[in-house]
Amino acid sequence: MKWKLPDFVRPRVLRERGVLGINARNHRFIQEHNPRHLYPRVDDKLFTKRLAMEAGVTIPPLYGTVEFHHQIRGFHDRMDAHDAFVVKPARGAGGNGVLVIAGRTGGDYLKTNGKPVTRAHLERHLANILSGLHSLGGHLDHVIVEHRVRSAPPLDALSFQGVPDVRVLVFQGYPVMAMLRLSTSLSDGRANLHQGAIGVGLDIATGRAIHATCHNRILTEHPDTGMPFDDIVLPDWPQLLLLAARCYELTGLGYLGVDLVIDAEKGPLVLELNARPGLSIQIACGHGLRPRLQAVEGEAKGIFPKPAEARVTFATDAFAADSP
Amino acid sequence: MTTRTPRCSGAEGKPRNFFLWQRGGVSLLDLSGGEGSQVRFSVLHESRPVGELARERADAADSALINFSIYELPIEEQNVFKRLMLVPFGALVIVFLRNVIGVTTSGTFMPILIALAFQETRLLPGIVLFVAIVGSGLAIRALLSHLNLLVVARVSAVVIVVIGLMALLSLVSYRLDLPVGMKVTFFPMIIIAWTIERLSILWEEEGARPALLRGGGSLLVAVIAYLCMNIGWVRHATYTFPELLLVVLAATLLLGTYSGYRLTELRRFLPFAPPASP
Repeated sequence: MKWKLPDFVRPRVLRERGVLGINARNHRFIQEHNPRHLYPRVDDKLFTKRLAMEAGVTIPPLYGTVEFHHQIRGFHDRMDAHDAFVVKPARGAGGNGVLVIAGRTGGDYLKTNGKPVTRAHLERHLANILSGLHSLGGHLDHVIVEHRVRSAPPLDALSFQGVPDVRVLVFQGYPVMAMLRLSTSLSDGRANLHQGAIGVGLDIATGRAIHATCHNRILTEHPDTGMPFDDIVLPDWPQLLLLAARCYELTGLGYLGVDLVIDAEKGPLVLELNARPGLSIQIACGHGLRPRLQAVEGEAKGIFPKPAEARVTFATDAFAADSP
Repeated sequence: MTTRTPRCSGAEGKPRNFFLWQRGGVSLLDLSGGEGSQVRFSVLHESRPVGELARERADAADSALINFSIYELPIEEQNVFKRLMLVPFGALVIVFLRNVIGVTTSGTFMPILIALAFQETRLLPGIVLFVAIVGSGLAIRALLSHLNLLVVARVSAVVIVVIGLMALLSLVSYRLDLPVGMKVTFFPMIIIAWTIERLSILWEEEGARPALLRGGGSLLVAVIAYLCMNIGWVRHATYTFPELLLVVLAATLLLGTYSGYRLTELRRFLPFAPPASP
C-alpha cells in the first residue's frame, strides 16, 4: 500500500484568502484588543447581565439568582409566577449545568423533553451549581434563573432541538462576520460547531444565508429537519447587528463574540458574550477574517468610537456578500 | 609500587575493569567498640568539559568565584540538576508541538512531567504504566461521578484510589520479579489525577473520541519530549553547559511570537482549498 500525504491546504492559499489562524488570533487580536482585566465582564454572566441592563441592551429577563445555600429552600415559592424558566451557573462554560424547565406537573417540574424533574432533584442541581460543580476550576458560583427563550418562526423550524442562535463577531465595535448555529441530532441539541452543529454563514448586509457547513462539509439542507438553507433570511437583522455592536461599549473588549437569539415574545436578545470566539465562523462563511479586521482597523482610528449605528452602516456597506 | 590480586593467587597486576578505590597506608575505617559499621561508596558517571578539568587541576587552591559550576554541588544535588536541566529543553519541545504543529494536550506541561517519569521507567514500560494508571483512574472516576461529589473531594478520591493501585502494582511486580512495575512511583500523582479529571469531564461532555484524542495527544507529546530529552548530546550539553539555558529561552521567546498557521490548521481549513483539478 502506498502511503498518501493527507489532504491539506497550502499556507499560501490560506494567506491569500485572508484566513486567520489561532496563533495570529491570540497574538495579534485577542492579546492586543482584549485587556485581561475586562474578562470578568463576560466570564461572569451575572456581571454581563447587570451591565447589559444598565446599558439598555436587551437580554432574557432575569427572574432571580441564588447565591447561598439557604436560599434554595425558598426557591420554589419565588419561581411560582413562572411556568417555564432556565437555570444556569453564572460562570459555567460550554452550556454545562444549564437546566431548562418547560412546565410543571403537580408540585414538580417538566423538562423540554417532557420528563419530570422532582423538587429534590432541582434543589440538588442548585446546590451543585453553588458548589462549583459546573464552573471552570471548581470555584464557588451563583445560579442565574432567567426567561426561557423560545424561537419564533421561521427559525423554530430549522433546529433539531434547542434554540438556533446567531454568533456575530464584533471587532472594535464593528460587526465583521456572522453565522447562524443550528443544533443537530449529531450535536445532541448543542450549538457548538465542533460538536457537530451546523454553521450557516450569513451575509452581513442582509442576514441572508450564503453558505452552510457541518464538520467541514458543505450542506444545502438540514440533515434532521430537511429544511433547505438557501432561502433563510433572518428577521430583525438590522436590530440584531445593532445589539451586537453595542456590546462593545458594554464590555470594552475589542475582539468579541456575541451570541444572539430571537425570542418569540421579546424579540432579539443577547444571550451570551465570548472573549475568545472561535475561528470556525470563517469556514461557515467561506471567507477569511483578516481583510475585514484590517478594514475595521483602518476605519476605527481616533480616540472616541463612532456611534453603534454608524459602525453597523459601515459594516453592512463594506462586508456585504456581493462585495469582494 | 605493585598491585596484587588476591583472587588470582596473588598474581601481580590488575584484573580487567578494575577501579582502585583508595591507596596509601591509612586504613579506610578504624572501628573500636562498635559493630555493624559499613563503608559505602557513591559513584556518578559524569562528563566534564576539558577546560574546566584543566582549571581545576591548575588551582587546587580554591578560588570560590572561578569554580562556580553545578559540579561543585554534592552528588545527590548534581543528580537532581541533571534532570532539572532537561526540563527547559522539554518545555521548548512542547511549545513547538503546541504552537507550530497544533497538537492538543491535556494540561500544558503535564507531558514534560510524564517524560521525566519515562526517564526512570524506560519508554515502553512507562507507556504501559501510564495507560494502566490513567485507564483505571478513568474507570474509578466514572464510578465516582454517580456520587455527585464536589470537585476537590472527587479529585482527592481519585488520588487516593490511584495511589492504592500503584502500591498494589509495585507489590505484584516485585513478587513477579518485574522491577519495572516498582518504578510506578516516579509518576507525578497529583498531575495525573487532574489529567484523569479533565479527561473524564471531556469524555462526559463531548464523548469518547475527543477524550481519547486529547489523552493520546498528551502521551504522544510526552513520548516525543522523552525522545528529545534522551538524545545523548542533549543530555550532555544541557548539563555540562548550563549557559545553554539562555539559548533555549531565546528560542522559546521566538516561538512565542510565531503567528503563522499551525500544521493542523492546514487540515482544519480544508474547505478553503481550491477545487482539485481533474
